[in-house]
Amino acid sequence: MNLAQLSLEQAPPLSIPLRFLLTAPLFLLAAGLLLLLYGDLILLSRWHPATSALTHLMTLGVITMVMVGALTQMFPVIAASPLPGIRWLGPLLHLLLVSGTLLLVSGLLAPYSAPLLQLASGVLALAITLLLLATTRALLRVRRHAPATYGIAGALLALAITLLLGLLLTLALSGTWVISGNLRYLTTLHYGWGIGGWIGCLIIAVAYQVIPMFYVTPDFPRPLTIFMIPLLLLLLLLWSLWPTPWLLYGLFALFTLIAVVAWRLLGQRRRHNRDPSLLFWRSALLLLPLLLLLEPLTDGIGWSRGQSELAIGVVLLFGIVLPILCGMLLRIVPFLCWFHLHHQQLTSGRFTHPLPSMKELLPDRLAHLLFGNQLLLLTALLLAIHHPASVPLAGLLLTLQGGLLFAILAQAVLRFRHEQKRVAESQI
Amino acid sequence: MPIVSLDVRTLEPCEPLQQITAALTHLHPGELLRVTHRQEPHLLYPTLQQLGMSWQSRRLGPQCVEITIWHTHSQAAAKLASQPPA
Repeated sequence: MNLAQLSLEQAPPLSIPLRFLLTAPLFLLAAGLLLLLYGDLILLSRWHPATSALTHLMTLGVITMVMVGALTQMFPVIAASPLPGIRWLGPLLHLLLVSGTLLLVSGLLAPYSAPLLQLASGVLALAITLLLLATTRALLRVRRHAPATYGIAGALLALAITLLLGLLLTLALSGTWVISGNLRYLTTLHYGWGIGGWIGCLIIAVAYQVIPMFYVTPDFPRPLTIFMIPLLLLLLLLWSLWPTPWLLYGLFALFTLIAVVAWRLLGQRRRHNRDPSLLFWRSALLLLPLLLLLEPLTDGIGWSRGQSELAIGVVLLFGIVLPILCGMLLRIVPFLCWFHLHHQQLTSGRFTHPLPSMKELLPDRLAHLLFGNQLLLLTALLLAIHHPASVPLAGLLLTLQGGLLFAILAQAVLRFRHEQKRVAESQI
Repeated sequence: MPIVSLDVRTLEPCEPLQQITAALTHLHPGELLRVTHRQEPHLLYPTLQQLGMSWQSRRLGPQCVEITIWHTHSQAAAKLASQPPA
């Protein structure tokens, strides 16, 4: 008997990851509505409170929501070490993350309402502290570490720093505490650690696992998986102390290196089937190195510095991170649904009811539709930075993307529920 | 045929689990199912436990894990599993 065995009580029920994975598209939809309501202000400057509200809807409501959902499922799969108390911790984390994000966004839109921002800080700090404690405990119990678990540890460290910086900012913005330093510098650090550290490192760690597993590619080169995350965190730390462009370029170079390696690995798939989730991965990997060219390019066509900064943010969040999340969700959700059906059937010992395949649970045509809208969305958002008349279109497309993603995932879950009943009936 | 071999390394999820399941339904007491997988299938183990199966796994190299599965009540299979592979 393998020592690293799991018990069913430890493995999370399907409802735990699904509540996170299905909530994220709703926040994407909310981001679209926010863009429709506050579009002119959001695309005016990265420093506007409405821009910050949209950014947090994306980073907390969409990205962190998906990542926490994925973590609840990934720990048992890759490390045989589930998050402790996941049956009560999962719903609690979900509740805290949803309410904390909504409070923060409301507090920023108020604008800078002290009671809302203070409440949001408390709720989000509790959510993230619980997550950090649970994941640290699960990591300490891992018997055999994989590159992904080291990456997750690095991402969690970055999350802790992002949280501390975020708390300082909310205290300053709500007038609770007067910061003598430069608030913009603190905001830039908060974004840097949040997007480059927490989101960047976690996506890399998840990619170490998901790309070889779902697309049957060779593993990421071992030396790369060993030095990448520590080097990224070191560069982030140095950049925090000495914010020179060269350190920022160094960070971009590391992310680009990962993108190039991931692109090559996807080219070495053992099966060259056309999978729409690959379109999301490929488009994001292609845009990542181009991010460096965005500033000179926008300078060349006469955009202001503020517009260039917004364009970088748009490409980063909506052209790179969002497609990667969509690519992951299109694979993870049908796989989890299929796995739970399979488990139900296997433990009953009756195989009279044929199970739907992953493609039947989540048809390719829906994924293609989502990708088409993704391309339109990115184009409209970039256009809207320079042509405010395009803002409503961008808002509509973002709302549509959230709605589409939710509908696609929800129909997979509804099909799962239907099949679950049929499997149960076949066992009577 | 006391040892049934199954190599699922080139299959995409969820095919490895499908093939392992199909092989398990035909596994007789006294037989071993020896699966070669790209990674340790942690999600399979609770199911094996519920099915009254035992298993052991060993890493043979990068992207290569061998999992040996047998009916827990079969002493002959347990003895066979404890022998070093040829």
